Amino acid sequence: MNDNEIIELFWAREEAALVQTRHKYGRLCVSVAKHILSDARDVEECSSDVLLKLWNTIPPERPCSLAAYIKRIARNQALDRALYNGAEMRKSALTESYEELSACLTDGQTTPEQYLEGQALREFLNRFLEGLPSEARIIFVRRYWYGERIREIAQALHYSEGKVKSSLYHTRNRLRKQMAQEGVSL
Amino acid sequence: MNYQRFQAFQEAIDDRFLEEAASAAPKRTSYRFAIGIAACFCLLITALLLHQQYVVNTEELANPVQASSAEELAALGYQLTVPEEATNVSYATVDLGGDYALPMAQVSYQVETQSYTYRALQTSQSEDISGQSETWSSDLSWRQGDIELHLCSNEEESWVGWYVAEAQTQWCLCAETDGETLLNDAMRIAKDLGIDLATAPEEAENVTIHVLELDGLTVAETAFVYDGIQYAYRTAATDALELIDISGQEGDYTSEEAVMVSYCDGQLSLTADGAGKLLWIDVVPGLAFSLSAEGNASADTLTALADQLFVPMQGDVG
Repeated sequence: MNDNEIIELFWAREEAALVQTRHKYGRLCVSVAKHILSDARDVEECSSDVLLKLWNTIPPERPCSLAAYIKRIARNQALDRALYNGAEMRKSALTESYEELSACLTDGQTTPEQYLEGQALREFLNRFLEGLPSEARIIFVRRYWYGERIREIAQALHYSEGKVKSSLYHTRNRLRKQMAQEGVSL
Repeated sequence: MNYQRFQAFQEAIDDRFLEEAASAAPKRTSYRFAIGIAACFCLLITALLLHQQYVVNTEELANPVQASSAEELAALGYQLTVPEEATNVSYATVDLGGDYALPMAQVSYQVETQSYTYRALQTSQSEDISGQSETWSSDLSWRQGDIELHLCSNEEESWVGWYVAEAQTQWCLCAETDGETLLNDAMRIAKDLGIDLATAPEEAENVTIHVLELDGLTVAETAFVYDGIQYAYRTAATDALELIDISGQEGDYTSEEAVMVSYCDGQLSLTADGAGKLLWIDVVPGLAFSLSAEGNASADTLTALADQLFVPMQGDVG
């Protein structure tokens, strides 16, 4: 069943929408959640939370890309669950990537005026990503959005771990330089 | 950058970049680039040989692959047997890093013109160890008792994974062939490990396994011949609370009756010439079953065989 047909099932309030979504995207939800949550039961519960969230948001939402919509919900549900489970998030691939990016970008001098919000952040970041070679961009997004480990990225793309680390290092430096040029910080 | 800003950073990335990253495939080297690289490599090797100073520090290689042997892999606790007719057999270990107690074991071999890569990894959960990131036209997951199975395939290649929690081991078989063929190759290999990916009586013949999508469900099927009768045993995970028909069999049924398979409600349908199907559902774990016969079966043979093959998820029920 294609994504438009699944969305129509949601709009028709047919429970088959949930069955079809679980069948087509269940594994995707688990994959996204596993990079944030270390407990298998939390991952499973998070997948159920994703279905509930989809049911409650479609309608009125009509996502252009159901896959991307589900990934975002899965990521946010996993993050909410991780934060709910404890004051300090367990060590996960995503927290590692957050620490890596933070260590590179934080200069301790952020002021409210410099912090980019909403549309401004979206424009800056996507302009930055657009300017990257596709290889560097893919590695960057897989590390800092999907929270994949270096080893996972290397295996998936048939690169050496050294190449992945090097690409991330250069991209972070490029991001820091562009932020400095435009006088912004995150 | 505090954690809320990291979240804002993540929210800001456009969907198109997420899709691009998720669907990225390994780059294939063009012939020209490969020839150039080969030429440079030849020059480099020549220079190094001339100078007779050649040191490779394997610790600098990411995921180092070390040649190995069946005996060395067995000493690690891995049993990777290859078909008797296999040629060009080479064993290796792949170091995946600190998260794993043992390296991954790998054997590459050929049977006639078909090349295979067969891997095993000691791990606490089912994982994709195929090392493939192709775009798959079919991506199916299902359970066979306590075994978690996965089959990915497209027009050019496939991989089959099976994970046994009791053994804490993930196995994977990859080849440039269709999914159906590879699945049955995996069945034969797994049998050598004492792992049965099929559900059939011991005395069954012509046992083959298949997986298909039917009405939105992933259906695993074992087809076999038993006492001269062709049977198909199917199972599928489902949310349904009542009987569903996953047999794929249609016929002019002259008798239909409600039956029990262990503690499960079932329905038996038979034609005049002994073709029939027995459907049942185990609601608690959410599993639908069917056992169909192509002819010369009876109500007794179908129910007896179903009782023999069905393993209740809820333990022995009297």
